[in-house]
Amino acid sequence: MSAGDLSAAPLELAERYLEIERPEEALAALARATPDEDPERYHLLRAEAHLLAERPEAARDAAALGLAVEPESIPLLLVRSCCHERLGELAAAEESLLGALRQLPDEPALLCRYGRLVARGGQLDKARRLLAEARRVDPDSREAARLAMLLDYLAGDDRAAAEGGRRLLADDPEDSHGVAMLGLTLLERGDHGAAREVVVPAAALDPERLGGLAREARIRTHPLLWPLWPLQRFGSVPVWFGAVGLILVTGRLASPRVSSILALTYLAWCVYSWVVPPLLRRWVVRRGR
Amino acid sequence: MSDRVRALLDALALSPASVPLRLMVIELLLAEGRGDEAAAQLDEIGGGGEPNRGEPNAAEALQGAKLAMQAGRLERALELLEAAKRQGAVEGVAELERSANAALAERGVRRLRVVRTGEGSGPPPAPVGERPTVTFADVGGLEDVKKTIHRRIVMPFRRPELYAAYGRRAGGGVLLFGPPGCGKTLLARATAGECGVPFLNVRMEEILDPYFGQSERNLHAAFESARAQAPCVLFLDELDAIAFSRRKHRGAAGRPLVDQLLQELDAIGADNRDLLVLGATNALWDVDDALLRPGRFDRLVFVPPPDVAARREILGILLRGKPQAGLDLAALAAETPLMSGADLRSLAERAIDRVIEEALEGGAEPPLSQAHLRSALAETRPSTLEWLQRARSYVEFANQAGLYEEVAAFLKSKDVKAAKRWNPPPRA
Repeated sequence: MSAGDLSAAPLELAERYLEIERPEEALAALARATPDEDPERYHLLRAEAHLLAERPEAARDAAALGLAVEPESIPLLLVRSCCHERLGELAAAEESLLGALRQLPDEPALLCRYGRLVARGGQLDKARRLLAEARRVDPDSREAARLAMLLDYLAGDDRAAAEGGRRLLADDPEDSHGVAMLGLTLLERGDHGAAREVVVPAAALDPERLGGLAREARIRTHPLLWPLWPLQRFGSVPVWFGAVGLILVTGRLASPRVSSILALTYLAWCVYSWVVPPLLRRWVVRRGR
Repeated sequence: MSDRVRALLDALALSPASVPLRLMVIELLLAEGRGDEAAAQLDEIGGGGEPNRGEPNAAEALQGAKLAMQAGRLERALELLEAAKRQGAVEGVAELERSANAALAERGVRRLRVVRTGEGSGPPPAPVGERPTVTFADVGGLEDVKKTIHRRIVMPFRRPELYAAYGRRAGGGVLLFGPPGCGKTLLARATAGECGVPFLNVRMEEILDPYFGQSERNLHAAFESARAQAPCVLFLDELDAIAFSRRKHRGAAGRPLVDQLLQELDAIGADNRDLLVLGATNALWDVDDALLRPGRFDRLVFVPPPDVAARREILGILLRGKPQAGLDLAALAAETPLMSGADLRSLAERAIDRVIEEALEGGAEPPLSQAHLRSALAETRPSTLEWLQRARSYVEFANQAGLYEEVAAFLKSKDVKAAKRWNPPPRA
């Protein structure tokens, strides 16, 4: 065997290329192989390579070819489900995933994956049942912890979601998924400083996935936005009611002059809230750091 | 002559094919200062199939070469080194070969090189260095990069005494990074040409192997070959594939390859003197962090897309000899910010395709005009944009160690600003 001899052990070579995220080279190695020897592995590698190269349609077709030969192959069913999900074909994704689950009904990772899929389709109760089942099988499953955090977030329970995210990161501080979910939850809660502390250091390790969130955290913690904190914390409608109420009460109980000053101040604050954030956002993005 | 030597010589008379016995005799003779007799015994090792002369295995040939060096038989030492190489010896060969060459150079003998020759199993033939004829004069633009490389890499080879006076020496690791198609490989080749040393190009396909442990052996063989040919430039193209970040690795099989590369760069059990290891990568962020520490690839050189002068020069080279009329390449260069050399080639080819289409339709042979080029420009986007977009995230969030300072400076350059303002001309 000599290096670069793609005709020898092409499937193993393709696996090596996929490990280092080189899908095109993996496909080139597979082009020198035939599916006859190990059809499941051959089609699986082709599907994974296409998926890695952001070609879900081609990956789905490759997986389908493999499933035509090995209809019960769990890895192929999972790859096809992933392809369908990426293409937004949720029903087909569910069907493929159920094909795998029928064979491994007690596998927590599969249960959680199914839970994420149905949660994406809005079926939170069903997702919770799947989560409970996964936790029954493996109470320490990280997949289950991730799903629980996602469901808390989708249900609007930011406090529980943030708590779950902190537990995930306590086990693995470099878990990009955990960082992203926790950062997003903290930003939603208006806890911008905490979000920045979590996301910006993590973005140094994975800027491509976490860069956008880290940039958002930086913008929201910028000193120019401090005056807008009530807006970010409570939302525009409660703040509007509060301001108008205060102006009216001041007009009744104090003097119209004070009330007018308050009204003008509120108006200036509103203009500030319209003008400054977009300008700041553009500036931060352009400046780049 | 001592009794021990006499006894061994008697034994040797009975077993003349025993190489270990003969080596023992030579060693004792040298210890007793009987160089001529030792040299005569050295000649008896390996007789090319002659009866009564044992063929040494790899270790014996290497040992014989060492003793030949001690005896001052340099040519014989190199013959035995060749034999050791043929038998698959790798470790220690480069060092011995260097010593033999140095001694031969003192005698005014032309330098000899030991290169692996074909063999049955085991590592594949290691790359043999070529002497590139390309120099910096053949690389359009990139003046700042060329100047940096000249100072930091070429001059230590050309004036080693100056650098030695300050405790610096030639060689080490240098990593070229930047968007694809911007001339990293050409620059590496030109660097070897400027240094006047052999250039060994090692590509990912030549290293990666499906069988367990074989990739590491291939890499080791490449380094050993380079050491045997030192001073030389060992060029590792697509370094991110060979040394993919262990943190990002999707499996465990490739990790030993990174460990092996680290060992080679650290010269564990070997000597990397006068060996310049040049790496090139499009994705610096995918290269294992350990490789960027001092003593390994500690000099990073950013190779940006060509600037306007370089683009003008590249376009001139691409369109040289083609029928043309009224071309304003300076204007075209100004309209192609961030385009790589590969993009400019694509632009030129598209424009020429249009001319050929016109020739086929009209019968005449129209010259290439500015309109053809501008029409092709409407369909050509700089391929470096995606790279720069990714790099921006790394500059913003992952530049704590200052790896991306040059990229940060480039992102503030006129070209990037011009690219933001630039709109491709409408199609003709």
